[in-house]
Amino acid sequence: MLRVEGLRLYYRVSAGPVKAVDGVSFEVRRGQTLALVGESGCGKSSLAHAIMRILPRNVHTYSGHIYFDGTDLMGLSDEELRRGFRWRRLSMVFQGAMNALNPVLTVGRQVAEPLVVHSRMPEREALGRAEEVLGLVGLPPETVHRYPHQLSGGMKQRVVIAMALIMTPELLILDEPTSALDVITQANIINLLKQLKERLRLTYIFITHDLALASELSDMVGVMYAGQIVEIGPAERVYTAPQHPYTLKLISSVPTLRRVARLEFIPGSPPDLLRPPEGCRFNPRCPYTMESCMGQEPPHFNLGSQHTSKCWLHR
Amino acid sequence: MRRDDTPLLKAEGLRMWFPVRRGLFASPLYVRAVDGVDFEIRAGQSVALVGESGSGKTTLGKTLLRLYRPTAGRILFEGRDITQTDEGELKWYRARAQIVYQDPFSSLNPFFTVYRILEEPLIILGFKSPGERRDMIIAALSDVRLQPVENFITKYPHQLSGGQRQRVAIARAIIAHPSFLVADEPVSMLDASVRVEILYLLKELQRKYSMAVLYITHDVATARYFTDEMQIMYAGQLVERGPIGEVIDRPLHPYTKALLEAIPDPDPANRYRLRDVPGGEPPSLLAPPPGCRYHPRCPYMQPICREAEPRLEEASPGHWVACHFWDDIESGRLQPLSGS
Amino acid sequence: MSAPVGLKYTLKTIFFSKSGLLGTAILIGMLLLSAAAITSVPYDVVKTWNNPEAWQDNPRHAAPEWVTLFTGGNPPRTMVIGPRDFFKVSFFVELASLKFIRLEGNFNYQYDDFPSEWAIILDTVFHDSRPLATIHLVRPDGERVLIFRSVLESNRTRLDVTNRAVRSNVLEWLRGLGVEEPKFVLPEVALFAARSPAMWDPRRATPLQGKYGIEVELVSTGRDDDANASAILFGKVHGLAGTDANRRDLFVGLVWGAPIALAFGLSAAVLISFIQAILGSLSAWYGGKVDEVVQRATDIYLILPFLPILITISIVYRIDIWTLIFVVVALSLLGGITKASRSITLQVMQEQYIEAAISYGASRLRILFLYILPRLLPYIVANIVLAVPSFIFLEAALSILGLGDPIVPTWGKIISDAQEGGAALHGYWWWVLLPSTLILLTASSFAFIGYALDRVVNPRLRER
Repeated sequence: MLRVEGLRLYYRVSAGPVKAVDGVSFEVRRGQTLALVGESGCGKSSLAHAIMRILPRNVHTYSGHIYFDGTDLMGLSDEELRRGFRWRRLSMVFQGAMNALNPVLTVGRQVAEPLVVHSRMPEREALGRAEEVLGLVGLPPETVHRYPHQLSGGMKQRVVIAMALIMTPELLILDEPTSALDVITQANIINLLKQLKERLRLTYIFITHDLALASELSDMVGVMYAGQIVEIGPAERVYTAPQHPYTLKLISSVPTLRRVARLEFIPGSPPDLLRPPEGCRFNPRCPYTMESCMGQEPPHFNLGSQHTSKCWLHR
Repeated sequence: MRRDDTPLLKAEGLRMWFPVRRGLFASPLYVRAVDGVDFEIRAGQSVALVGESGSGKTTLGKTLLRLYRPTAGRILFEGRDITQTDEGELKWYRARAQIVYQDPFSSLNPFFTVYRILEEPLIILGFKSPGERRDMIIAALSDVRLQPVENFITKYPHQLSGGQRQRVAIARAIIAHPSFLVADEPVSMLDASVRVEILYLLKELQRKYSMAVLYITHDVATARYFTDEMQIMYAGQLVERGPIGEVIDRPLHPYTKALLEAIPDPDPANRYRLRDVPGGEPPSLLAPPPGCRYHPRCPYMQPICREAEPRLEEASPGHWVACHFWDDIESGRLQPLSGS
Repeated sequence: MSAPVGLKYTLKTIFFSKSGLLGTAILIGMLLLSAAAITSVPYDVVKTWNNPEAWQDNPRHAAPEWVTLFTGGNPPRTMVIGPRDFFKVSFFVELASLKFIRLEGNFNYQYDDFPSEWAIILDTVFHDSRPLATIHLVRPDGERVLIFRSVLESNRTRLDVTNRAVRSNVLEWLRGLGVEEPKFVLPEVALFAARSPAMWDPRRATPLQGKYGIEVELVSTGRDDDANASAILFGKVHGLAGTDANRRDLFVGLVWGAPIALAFGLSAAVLISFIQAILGSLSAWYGGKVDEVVQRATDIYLILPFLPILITISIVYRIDIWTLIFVVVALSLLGGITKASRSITLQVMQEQYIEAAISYGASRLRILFLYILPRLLPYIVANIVLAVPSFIFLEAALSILGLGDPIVPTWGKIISDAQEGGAALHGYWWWVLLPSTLILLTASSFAFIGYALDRVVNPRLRER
């Protein structure tokens, strides 16, 4: 349903271009969930913004292809993208969105807003739809008349999800939807997302830094490092038999509740996206680094069953 | 690790209420952040204090450090009552009890170099000789593995990575060799790959200096790796307490069960099942529910839960729980109500 | 995260932006001017400013010399014919017991315009009876005009164009020439005008250029009597800044105005900014009742009508400039900066490193000075810069109202004198324009710097 090829997004800062997304390609099938996992600064948030074409003013490079159901979104003008695709067919739940709700408008009006602006729906009808969607996400109908400050964190996050679903999109990008929530509330939201996926036949791209959380929803997992996807594949394979050294280390650095194993850590820190290392970007921290890693960037090696890894080890 | 019979730090019936002023004439309301907590920790022991936001765990940690003056109750450190002592008399305690904060950036003075940041506590605690201070600073930086030391002492916090800053914060806390350390979510603002490193560092330092460590966190998984005992807080009170392995494998309080159930392990099979957790949110500390504070969300709620506050009972050696029906729940005599 | 905003960043902002550089450049100019003032003209100038004798040899209401750049022509400059320029012949006649002294001085007058006035000064020493003095002016066209004949009353006689005897002599001479009946007598014009029917009228007469002579003859009885003469022809232009009604060289006043303005502005701004900031910070730091009291006091101060009170005080007590600072500061102990620094302090107090400092036992005072004040400094500095011009204006305004320091030559005082002296009416534009321009320049320089500093105070303008 969504196929991304060679997506690049560089920002311009005074010191030069920041290569936030540097040649990312992946595919998501309809009804699936792709989880994009990575630490802070790996570019996963930028990737989400790049797909939706929600760009800041200091963009240096924005290129590649985004095929949504066959149409290359990159080739569309801003107006065409806005009219035909954004929010209607693919929408997004932003990071920290629950804090970005407008405090002076009621929840109902905010949820209904896309309908009023895009579909020119009369306000009363839009509010009715809003009430329906709020019910879908598990909020009582009277929430329509409440203000954001009257709601708890979990409820606000549900409102934001409702806002993203109001125009019945097919693809939903979720950028750290639970990062500010308590553990139990987080579990409730994840439950909700699982249910919505079934009921509304949604396709998700789920972005998070939390590996364990990603496993809650993902059919496919993509691991990002320094602006690139270094490994991507079915969840079963990536979690149980990771191939890329970074994925290996990442998985073993996460403490698990139920199985006590020796934890590892990755020395050093993520690279500066202004001046990423030569060759494979992980090579300064990689325990298996070889000659070739420092000279040339490895390509994606196909390991079968849609599992690829970007490492010279697989040559 | 030496174990003493008398606890290093002991708190009884501790309450910490913060008044909320509602204008000149209305009577104040109180945020009951800590509402009747008994706590103790032995020398060299590591205890995890687990709870969600709004549970009062951070306030408890800070109250034990006397960063607040308790509203009620008693705190005894090495047998001395420090509950109501004035700030001026507490200097000796400050040398023995320290804290590492959650946010590695805002807990370091951005205008000071690393050297200066580490020198501050030494100056205040009365280490007068600059040479002695310098030695201690270098030793502390080596302890937290910020080497070569010369590279770091002239840097400012904004020039360091999150992990490095947190190491500086830890160095500052241990530089005078305290016997009690409160670590308030020390790694939750760091990247996953860095967290483990820092936690291992803390563990190592704990062993080296025989410190009692109170590890405050909402991340139960990390607690298992680094502490011996776990205490669970909900709405300002302790609901369960015990050796960490046992509490995780055999949770007795319904809240603990829910908490553990809500935490995912990295397992792709997770996506095929829903998690069995109650809805709702933790209560407001301004007006907590009567009786057992968890009762509005508890799937096992009974009428008595609304009326009487449960006390901590010892379910098995060292494992305490505050619930009216913990053994009925465990044995299966009491079943959860469906659809919560 | 980016570097915190400290003093270094503040100073860097000033020097790296266009407006900051401009402002600083002007400010440096002002400082150099002040330095020049203090070194070349000592502070005694304050005393001499009000001492008419010191300015005797200057013309009144003279425009600045560079005015010729615009008007062209050759306006007269002050010419001094000193005692040594007079050729003296003196002898004593024994038989008659009479002493004769004859002094003759010459000068060449080449200007396009008449002198604004002239004066002849006779210094005499007489032992017996007072001398009889006769003064003639010899013109290039050959006319020998009797200007004065009379017995001298004192040892120092100054004759100028206001002297009645002089005027009547000139009138007589004019009548003797057969010109139009003069409506008024201006010795500075008539004596130097080319012969014409309207030579008494400055609008119609033209100056007579050429060699002039002053002949002074004294007759007295003392053998050892002596006399010296000097003459001054006052010009119409003088110096870099002209002169005022009291013949004071405005350049001196203006130059000295610079350090005074800067000193006044800076000391008021610095004192007030720091006092307000510290009080605001303490108010936030101690909280509770202290905070309440300080905040309400600040509110009262904010409502106070500053200028009317200041004017009232100035009317009742004639205050000098240094007392003025004291009064201004007293009336501004609390104000807007108090509130802002209170906000900043409250914000900083929330930061964890403050609590961390408490956790290792730092005293409140230590935290206040070592941790909180450095955060306030950029704001205070920015405020000082922005406040200086308003204090300069304040002093100028008070002076213009006539309520400022009556003695010290400040720019405002000069403008006030100009107003009293009818500068606008008579067209003495330099008297008003020059001090105003200096005030504006100084204020603008601070405004430019303040504009550059806006980034410091307003975080949203900072580059990411």
